[in-house]
Amino acid sequence: MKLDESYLARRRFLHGMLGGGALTLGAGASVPLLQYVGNFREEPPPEFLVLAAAEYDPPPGKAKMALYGRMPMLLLRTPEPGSELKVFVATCTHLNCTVHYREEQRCIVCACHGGYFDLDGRVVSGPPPQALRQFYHRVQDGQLVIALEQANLDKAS
Amino acid sequence: MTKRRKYFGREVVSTTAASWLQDRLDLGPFVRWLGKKSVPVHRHSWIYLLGGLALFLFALQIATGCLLMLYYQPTVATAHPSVRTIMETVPYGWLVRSLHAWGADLFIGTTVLHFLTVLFSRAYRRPRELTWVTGMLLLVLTLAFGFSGYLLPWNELSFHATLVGTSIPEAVPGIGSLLTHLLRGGEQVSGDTLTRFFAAHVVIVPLVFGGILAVHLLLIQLQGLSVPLTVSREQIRDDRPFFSEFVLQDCALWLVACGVLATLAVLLPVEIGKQADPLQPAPDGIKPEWYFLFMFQTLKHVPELLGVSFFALGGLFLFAVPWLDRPASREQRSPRVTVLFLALLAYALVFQVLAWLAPGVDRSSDGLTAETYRFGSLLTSLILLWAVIGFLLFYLRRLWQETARIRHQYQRP
Repeated sequence: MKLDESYLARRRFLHGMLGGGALTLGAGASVPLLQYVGNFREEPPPEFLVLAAAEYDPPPGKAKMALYGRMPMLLLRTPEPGSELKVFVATCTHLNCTVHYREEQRCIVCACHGGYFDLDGRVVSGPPPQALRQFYHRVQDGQLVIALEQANLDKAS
Repeated sequence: MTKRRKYFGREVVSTTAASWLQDRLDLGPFVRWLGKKSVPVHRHSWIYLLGGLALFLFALQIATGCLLMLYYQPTVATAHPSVRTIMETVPYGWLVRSLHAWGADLFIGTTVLHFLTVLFSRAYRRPRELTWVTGMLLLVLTLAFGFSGYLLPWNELSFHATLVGTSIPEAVPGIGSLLTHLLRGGEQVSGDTLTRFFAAHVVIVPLVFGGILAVHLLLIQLQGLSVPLTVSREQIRDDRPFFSEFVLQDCALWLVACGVLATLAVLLPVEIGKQADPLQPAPDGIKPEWYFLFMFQTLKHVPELLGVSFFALGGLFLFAVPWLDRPASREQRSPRVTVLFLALLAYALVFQVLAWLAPGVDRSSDGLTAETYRFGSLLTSLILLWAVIGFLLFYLRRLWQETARIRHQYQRP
């Protein structure tokens, strides 16, 4: 018995239809699946944060840690003379380790790969490619207002 | 040559891939063996689809279960809040959890139906006793899946169901309280119980289940499918090749199962319930999941020891039925055994219905507040889903008929 050409053509058509249908089904299912697995939902960091200044303003030459949303934050009052408050994103610009302030060396240190930052957050030595990001802040009615954008700082009032 | 290659591009690719593999592994015997696999066609052939359907639903349970594990946190303090997060905050979390819960019901239902058809068609008879015993073990493990998974949301109902369920072995003389202690990981249902039920549900039971399932499937491959005693050799109309005609039928059924599951999950998403509180009394009308209802109802009417012994004896009888049903192993009909099966089935059904009729817990749910639960667009998606499934079913059927037609042309002497 000889298979006729129409059989092969029909078969190819059927395979195409089935493959196309299966692809459609897979594409449809992948949309909720990816959203579920990725946990994609809007969760921007807070516009600004208000803290009790008395609690969060450390004495000169000392530093404190606090959370800004889920972001660690380093509050540092630089040593005398000319002491001022600086607030950094406490995440190393190299590979995201949390940095800390080392009093005796007067610098901010990332222990993971030996990154050193000065009191302005600029890189002194080590692998970090950029300076530490700084928060904007001001004191208002004895409260410390902190924001990532200058514009958001004014919204707090 | 180039023109030919261009025209038959897909064939060239698949031939190259096959010969690459063939160079490294000799697939010949395997392919020949796959080609020989066939399924007898007679008036009860539909029962051969149930095992495959159960297998597919089990695979879906693994998939949705893995997805749930991405967010579920198995501790007393976090279990219920994390389930709430899945249902309300995680995108499409409600869908994944509802698919898992409804999938469990469909999986257990299919397994029970598979069990009943194998029982009544005497497929357990010689030489398939081992397949039957492994199948019974899988049935028990399926119920263990259901029982252990039910506690994990740590809500009022699951907490009390576990209290009751784990206290049933207490009726066993001598070692009863030890068994209960082992199940609970302590005197009471507590965080330790939750942790061990989680371990059982996601690791221990699946590992054992997988091993036994492998043996079960291997035995079926080695021995082929059983034909019911009531079907004579002349009544077998056809011997359908497993590849590809039977697989295409399997796929069609699996597609329908997907559609049913998605429809149930969207129209009737599962509830979250109230967080379990050991100080709260059991809610009025509390019942276990449907697959334990007849046992639950029995224990309402008879003393615990009597009921538990009855279940144990019934279970033992079912495990040993290939050896007890002597006529069937001689390929003879055994109407007395059928009557016994029918009596057991009637008992289970009557008690099941009695338990269904009793008023249950008032489940006035607050409705889903998840952002991704938008009923209108979900309904549209469901309609589209069924349209694609219908399209696929149509062409699956065409492909399978076409294959059968060509095969019959070849087989004609």
